[in-house]
Amino acid sequence: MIIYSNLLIICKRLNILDLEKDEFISVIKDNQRLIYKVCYSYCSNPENRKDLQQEILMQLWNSLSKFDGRVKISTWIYKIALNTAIFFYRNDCKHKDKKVTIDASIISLSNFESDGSDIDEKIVMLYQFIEHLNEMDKALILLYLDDNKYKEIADIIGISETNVATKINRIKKNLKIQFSNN
Amino acid sequence: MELDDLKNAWTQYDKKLAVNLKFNEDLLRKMNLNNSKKELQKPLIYELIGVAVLFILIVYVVVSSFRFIDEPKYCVPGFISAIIGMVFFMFAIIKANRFLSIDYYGSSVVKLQKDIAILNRLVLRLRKYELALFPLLILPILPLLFKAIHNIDIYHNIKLFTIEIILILGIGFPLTFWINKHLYDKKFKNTERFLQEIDKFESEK
Repeated sequence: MIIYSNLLIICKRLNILDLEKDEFISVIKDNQRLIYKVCYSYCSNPENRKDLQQEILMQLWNSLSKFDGRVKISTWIYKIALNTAIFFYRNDCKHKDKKVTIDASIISLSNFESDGSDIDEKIVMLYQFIEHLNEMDKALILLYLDDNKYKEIADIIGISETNVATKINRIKKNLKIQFSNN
Repeated sequence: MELDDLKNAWTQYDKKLAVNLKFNEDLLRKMNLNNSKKELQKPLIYELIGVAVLFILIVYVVVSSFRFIDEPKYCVPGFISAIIGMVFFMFAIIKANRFLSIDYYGSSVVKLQKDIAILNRLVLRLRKYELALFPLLILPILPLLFKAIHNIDIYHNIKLFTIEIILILGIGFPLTFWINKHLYDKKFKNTERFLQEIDKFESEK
């Protein structure tokens, strides 16, 4: 009888875990663009990018149970992805020695047809510009480009709205100077 | 070119990504997500193990010192090492407490990065002291442990005693200073610099 009830508990737990996994996968599916852009902005090396992607997914999985719905899920994912990326970016050297346990990217581009358009060129230039920003400014510009309001950016980054506006203006000026020089 | 021009390009790029990104569910499942929590808490687990081991060591050393209370050559170094052990114990508790107080999932980017940098600074600072204190812990603890565990009087075994002194004073201390100078000082400066960057980022108007 005891064995049977234990078995029931285990089965129940396994079901919950499966449910959690399915929920998690669906959340990631809906927000994979965001994760991809964060990884691409913080890691130029494809191997490191794979590691970062795994790291972000691990952190998101670990914190899924703590998500209380007070903010939009995308805001919450942004916060965790950026924090993980900054931490990863700063410990880049350590990660160079780390083995990549999964041999392919979980989120990868399939058949991305670059038509050599003006947009593609602009995106390449933009990523090159982002690459030279410091880790905090990278976070700021990504949030701005993804059309987040200053209030949302301020909440995610943890600075005032005025501060966000000032910094974005400064980045805009730098970008203008850099592109006018090229 | 203005950032706002690029923002339009970014929006179109985002739409393109939505169509072209491939998500591999099987790979995600293979990541063994159910076991990942342990990975995340590794430093905390190390500190908690440290607290437990030090507690057992201190209790053992104090009890053994009282056992040889009539022999100052064992009990005095025993009590000294117990005091140094208490310092290690306090350090481990401080670190574990700070690890536990960090809100990894609710904090803003600046707050979390700052908390981690401060914790990192604390860990490095304490590690420097721990490294310096380690030979001072080993030196007095050995005579008591040899006596308590093996019933060997190390003071009468000149060879063993000399080896102990040479190992600790001749190798332990220089090694400690070298590690501190070349490993921790560098990391410490790096952390300090990052903390200053965050402070500057936060306060810039």
